[in-house]
Amino acid sequence: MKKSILVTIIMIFLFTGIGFASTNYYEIGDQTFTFQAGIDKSLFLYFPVTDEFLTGENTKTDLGGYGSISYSSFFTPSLSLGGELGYSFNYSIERKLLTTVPMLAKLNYYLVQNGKFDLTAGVGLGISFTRYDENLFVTPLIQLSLTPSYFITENWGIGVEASFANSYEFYGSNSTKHDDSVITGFMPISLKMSYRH
Amino acid sequence: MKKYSLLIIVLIILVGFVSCNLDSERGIYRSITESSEITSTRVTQALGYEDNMAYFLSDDGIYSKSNSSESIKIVSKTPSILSASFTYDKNDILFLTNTTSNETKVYAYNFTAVNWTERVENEFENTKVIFNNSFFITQDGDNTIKIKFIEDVSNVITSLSSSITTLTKVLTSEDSILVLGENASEDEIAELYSYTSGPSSIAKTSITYKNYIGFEYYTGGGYLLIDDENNVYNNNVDTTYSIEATVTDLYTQQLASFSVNEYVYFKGENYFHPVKSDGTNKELNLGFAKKLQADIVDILPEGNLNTFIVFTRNSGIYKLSGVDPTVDSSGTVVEI
Repeated sequence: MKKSILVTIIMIFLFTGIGFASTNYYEIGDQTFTFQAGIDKSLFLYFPVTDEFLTGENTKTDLGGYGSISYSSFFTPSLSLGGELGYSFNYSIERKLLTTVPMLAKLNYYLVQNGKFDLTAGVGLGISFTRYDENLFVTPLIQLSLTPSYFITENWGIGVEASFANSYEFYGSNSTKHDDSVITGFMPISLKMSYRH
Repeated sequence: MKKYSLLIIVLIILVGFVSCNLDSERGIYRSITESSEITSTRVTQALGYEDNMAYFLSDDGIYSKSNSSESIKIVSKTPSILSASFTYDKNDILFLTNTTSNETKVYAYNFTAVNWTERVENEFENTKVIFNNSFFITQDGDNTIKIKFIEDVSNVITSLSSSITTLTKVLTSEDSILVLGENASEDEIAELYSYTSGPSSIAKTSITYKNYIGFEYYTGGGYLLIDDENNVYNNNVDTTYSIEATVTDLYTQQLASFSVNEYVYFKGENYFHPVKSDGTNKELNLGFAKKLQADIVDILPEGNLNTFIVFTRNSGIYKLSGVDPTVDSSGTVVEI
């Protein structure tokens, strides 16, 4: 189950890239600003020390929400690099709030770009500030995303971004919380508004 | 490109160091997976069991619960109730509040008069916390710490002076309190306050400092204490505190320990661990589902021999009876 989720995500990225060929619309130095808001769903929690793999209701979290703002700049006609600042929330079944504030450096590869329609694959790397039940911690975060966008005008576009956010809460073997080390997988899906120039 | 390289290097270094959660006893996501659906009024502090009624503190006040009824005795949204306890004579419940101006006050709820009044006696000034075994702690502006005991609302014993100037941790048991901290010389010390025949017999005993996470009195005149490395000590055996037993699978907080005869039950993640005063230890499932085990807040004596009231955070209150570690009997559990 663990492997199949990962393989599926990688295959989506690979086949999407193979399936399209396009001319370049963007030039080096072009910039994009985006705002997005949507839902956030826990996919899995994996506790490697105790080998527990939890999905669905066993993650004990409800459907939550996600929002972010981001900026990127093209350094080749197909690649842009920038940053994303987000906020997500989920409630546990105990009705306590789990919130995260991800801060990511993000590399975007434009699989399709024809002026009206973009299809972007992104890889984000950064940190996430997570708060639950008065406790705060900071973890590394990796986020993979796929975003089709349609530009209504020359500058403004709308799209949908589906992401896979992967973070780690890690405790060393000397820690009393070693067994609580966990790898998390969340899937934010959001509507995205883009401005480019 | 140079600025991008610098950004990536900084992020990689950050990622290597950032995974930390120093504040909590449990991992964040472990806490979430162990959370339980709220099927009853939430218990934040168990207070006791009197006249077939269980008393507990919840988010919005102090409740009583029996087989057939549940009612709120003291409603408190603002100020919120921080902690509470029966007085020793069981005629009142004292509770500590925090007002909107961040000022703490002590009130007493009287069962006969069925009302509550503010207590403004000097004994209650600068009260930090009230424990569910009638002890409470005050700390004056000059850091003088006093351990006090509530015999009744008009007779607070104040003669329990402490050598501790900086509090680290306070652990409670049925008739006692274990205070960990530093003295004026910044030495780590541990003080055990306990009584055997009523409040007039309260005595202070200095014991060897360990980073204790729980302790409990056992029949036979001593205490079993457990530290954060799961080592169990018997204060009645020697003064060097050699290890009597080591248990596994233990939670880092031991509010829910209780004793049956010469055994003390410490709460583990999957089992309770009955440890005998001579160090013999076992693993024993008390009949609770594993998810309920994580939800247990406290276990207090019911009044009858070897019968206890199990307070869970979100899953109700249960009566546990017939526990006998000598024959590995896990007893019976009935929800009240």
